[in-house]
Amino acid sequence: MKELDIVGKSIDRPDARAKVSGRALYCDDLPSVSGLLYAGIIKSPVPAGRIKGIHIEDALSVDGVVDIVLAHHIPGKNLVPLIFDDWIVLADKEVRYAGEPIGVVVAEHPRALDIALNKVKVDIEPLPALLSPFDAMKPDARKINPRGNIFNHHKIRRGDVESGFAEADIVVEGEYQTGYQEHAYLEPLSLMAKPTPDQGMQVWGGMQCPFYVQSAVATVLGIALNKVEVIQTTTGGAFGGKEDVPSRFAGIVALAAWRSGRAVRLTFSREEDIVSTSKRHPSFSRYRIGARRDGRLVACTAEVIMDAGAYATLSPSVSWRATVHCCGPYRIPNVRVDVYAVATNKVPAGAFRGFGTPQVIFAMERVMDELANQLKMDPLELRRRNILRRGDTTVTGQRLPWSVGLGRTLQECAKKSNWKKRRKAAEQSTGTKKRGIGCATFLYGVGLGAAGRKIDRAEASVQVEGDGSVRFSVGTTEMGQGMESVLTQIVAEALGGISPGLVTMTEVSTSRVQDSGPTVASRATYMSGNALRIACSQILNRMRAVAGERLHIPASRVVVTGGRFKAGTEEIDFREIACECFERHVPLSARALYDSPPTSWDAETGQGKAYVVYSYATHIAEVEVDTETGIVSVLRFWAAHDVGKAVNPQLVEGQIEGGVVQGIGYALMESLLTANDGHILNPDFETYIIPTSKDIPEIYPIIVESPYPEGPFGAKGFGETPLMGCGAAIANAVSNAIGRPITRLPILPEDILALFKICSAPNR
Amino acid sequence: MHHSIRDIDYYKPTSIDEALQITHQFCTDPQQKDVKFLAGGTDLIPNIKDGNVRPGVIVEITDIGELRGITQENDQILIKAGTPFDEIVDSPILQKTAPVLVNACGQIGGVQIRNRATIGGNLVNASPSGDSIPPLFVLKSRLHIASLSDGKRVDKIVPIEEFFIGAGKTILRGGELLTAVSFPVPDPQSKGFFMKLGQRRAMTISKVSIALLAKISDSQIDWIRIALGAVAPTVIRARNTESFLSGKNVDDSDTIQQAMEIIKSEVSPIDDIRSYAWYRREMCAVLLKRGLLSVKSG
Repeated sequence: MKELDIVGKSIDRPDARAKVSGRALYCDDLPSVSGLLYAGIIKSPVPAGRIKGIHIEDALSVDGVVDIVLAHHIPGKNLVPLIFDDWIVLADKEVRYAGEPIGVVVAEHPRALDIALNKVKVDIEPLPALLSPFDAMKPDARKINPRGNIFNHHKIRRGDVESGFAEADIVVEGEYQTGYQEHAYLEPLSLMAKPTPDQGMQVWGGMQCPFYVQSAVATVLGIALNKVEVIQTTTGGAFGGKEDVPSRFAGIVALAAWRSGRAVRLTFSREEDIVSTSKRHPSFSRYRIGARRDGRLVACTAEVIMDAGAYATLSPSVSWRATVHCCGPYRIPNVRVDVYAVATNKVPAGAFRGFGTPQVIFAMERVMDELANQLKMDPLELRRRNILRRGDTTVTGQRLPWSVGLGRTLQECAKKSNWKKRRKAAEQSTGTKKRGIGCATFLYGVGLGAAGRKIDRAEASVQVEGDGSVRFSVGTTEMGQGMESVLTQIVAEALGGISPGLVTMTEVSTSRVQDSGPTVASRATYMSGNALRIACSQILNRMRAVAGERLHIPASRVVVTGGRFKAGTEEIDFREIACECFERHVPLSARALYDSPPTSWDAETGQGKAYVVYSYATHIAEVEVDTETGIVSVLRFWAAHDVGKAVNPQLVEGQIEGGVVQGIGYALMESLLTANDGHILNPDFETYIIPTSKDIPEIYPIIVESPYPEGPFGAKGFGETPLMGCGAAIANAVSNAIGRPITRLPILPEDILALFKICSAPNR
Repeated sequence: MHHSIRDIDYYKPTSIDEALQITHQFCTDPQQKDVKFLAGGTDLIPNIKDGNVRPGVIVEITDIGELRGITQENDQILIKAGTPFDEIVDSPILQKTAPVLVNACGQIGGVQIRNRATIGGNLVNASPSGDSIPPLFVLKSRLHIASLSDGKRVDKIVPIEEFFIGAGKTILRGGELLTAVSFPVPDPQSKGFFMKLGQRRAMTISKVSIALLAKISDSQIDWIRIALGAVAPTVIRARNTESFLSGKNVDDSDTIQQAMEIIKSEVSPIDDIRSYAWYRREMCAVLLKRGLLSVKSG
């Protein structure tokens, strides 16, 4: 393979300077537009009820209030288009969770909003709230959602589990629970809409998927897509939290702007953001796993219930991904999996880094460790004997022809962490501070997979200017994850190794860039990257022809490297050829579509080629548990990730470190509490606890490259994976330390102590 | 609902007398606007934002030079109320005379909070989890309060244990300003200990905390003072435990076991969003044990 000039190097992020110096403009920083109005959401005070009347007269008379917009004012459809199309923009007849938007107050200044919101009287006849998925699943339960309370039941039926278990020497069972996780991105949701003179609408905001927002705004206003321009402003973190949620609130803001004919902005406080936006699904699962005495897995069953909240939103996809990932990265001949996404009277759960997988990885990896205990086998060895390797077949019946770096991640992680020595040391720790070490191995299906087949394609365009500088456009977004850097490097490499300083990404606007599909599922690097690579090669071929003429050799013999066209000792700079192409009217722009390779899925058997490729990882956590206080300290964390090809190694390491921090929060402290009346009790960072720098151990990122031939320069997506195994690895380490099984995330000190004491903790 | 800053009258005096005159004027006003002093604002501003307090007047006291500083006069230490925690943590006087206070103040919030938040604010906010309060209890602190009476400044001094009357409640009345906290330099042979348990390692409110000051000679406890945070409506002294322990041998494990039982019986913790009553009660015993182990090891 050709040596790479730019890909594989840790170049500086093009967006870093503006962000650290404060020059980057987030939506709420945008210069005030003339006549700008402010929006405040009228929220449901109860988790379930029938709306009997909405009294707005007093609120309308508040000085500065311009309008109060309700569901019946919607000119188009009261709908956010997404999978089941069950998600409404403004509640009209019924409210389904506390905090659900009922209307919007629009005012000249934010001060009037608070006063007016207090004066809106919503007359609601309360209905009994169903806050637990188990209650909602009962056959006689009231229907929360017109579709019924079970949104999905995804299955895997592989082999024959009964005979599988009959073959097993050891069978282990376990029940596991995980809680909510809040995205806690830096920038709360902020959106602005402004009507255009041609009866259209412009929308600005921090978001992952501008084309989703475009579709929602067009639906709500009842206008054509080409009348809606959505501009992604600098986005201060998302983690999945800005995948679907901005669509609903953009619909509301656009509606307000449509009626008033003026620009309207909505910016959430942290508290409003936490009560109004999506979370990671809480989960309840029951696992059963059987193995032969040598550790070889022969059967696995899993039942998982995911608490989806009041609308399906992304839950059909989240629960499907959970299904595919349910049994880990192992060869298991007999499998039965049942995953349910269930409606409750709570804010809709949605996308969150890992998308339904951290829950099932926790359960599967815990039960694997229990199996290792029963077998008296080193848990890493148990995994080594079962993990998927090149040529193996997954539990969904998919053969893996390439890019399976799992074995290497396991090996590297074991070596770098000195696993055996530390495991032995942990066993010998005495006193009140108990050491423990635990591992998790897991995979991640890159991209949307068979469930998202319809939208899994990416368009992109590249334009070389007359001076040799380059502009590229994609519809995927930079939200802090580093996509702009990675795509800049891919473009620079694909144009012959030119300096990345010559390359600029176009600001994402639905009117100026192509739809590359959503920026989710760790798909931007390989989907947008591939589309760009194709576009670049088209341009480069034309430039190569011109260079060949200049160098007096056939185009095919021109070597392009280091930003230069070469023939023997003669060489011409990329910029010079660009200039010549421009003068000779050679087209210097290209547009390309990359279509995801085929996937398949049989809904009855759960068999098929679920994803085009998988990323793999091994996590190892070393902890110390204070058995008197129950406090867990993570001492060290090793994370080995097969990313195909690290386009920018420093960004890969940054992703690993950031994901591990988020995973430590998920494992040990993040606990979102819902009161009996359905309200979130801790919607702020004083009471919803995320880790600080003092809570973070030394993290050792380990990069493994098992190239994906279809990916740009061998790369495959991996951005979500660093979080995914943390809960499992830490729970296994804690279980190892205290000699008792951990069955619930987060692992709070009170829970650990309760395991030691007779007194048990009341239900959280 | 948010309380707008525009609804609040704002003053920024440069002397204690001026601050007292401003507040006095509003306290005698028939409309009785609620006056709040603003120092670091790390409690007040979130409280205003959350609508827990709605002051009509804010008197910012950060420009009052005489409200800031740490001094030692003979065996008396004086910390002015407007002194931020980072100055306390860095104070050579306090590092030498009251490491237990320095240790506790160094665990409050994070760097940014400690740069702004003041010891006076921590006292006046009167949270049972205020981390500077347990050490001030065991140091036998006294609080200096100024007010105006018939146009003249009056200063009074009250023992810290009389200052708090409930969660978030003190004896301070309208027009009164906490100006300083003082305490006698502890016996140089005594040793202190502070430990808090929070939900994480920084930027965290104590689920339970302990401060302990004891003089131990040849393993015998001459005297011991123990204060606990976040296990009662105010910070409390564990007096039964103290009197049980005084005169006892600190190396005797039975003694420690008994003291651990006694301390659990003197607290009245609650379940809340941060933890459970049972956990807090258990932790009082664990923290006591750790404190005793720490002070005896010298």
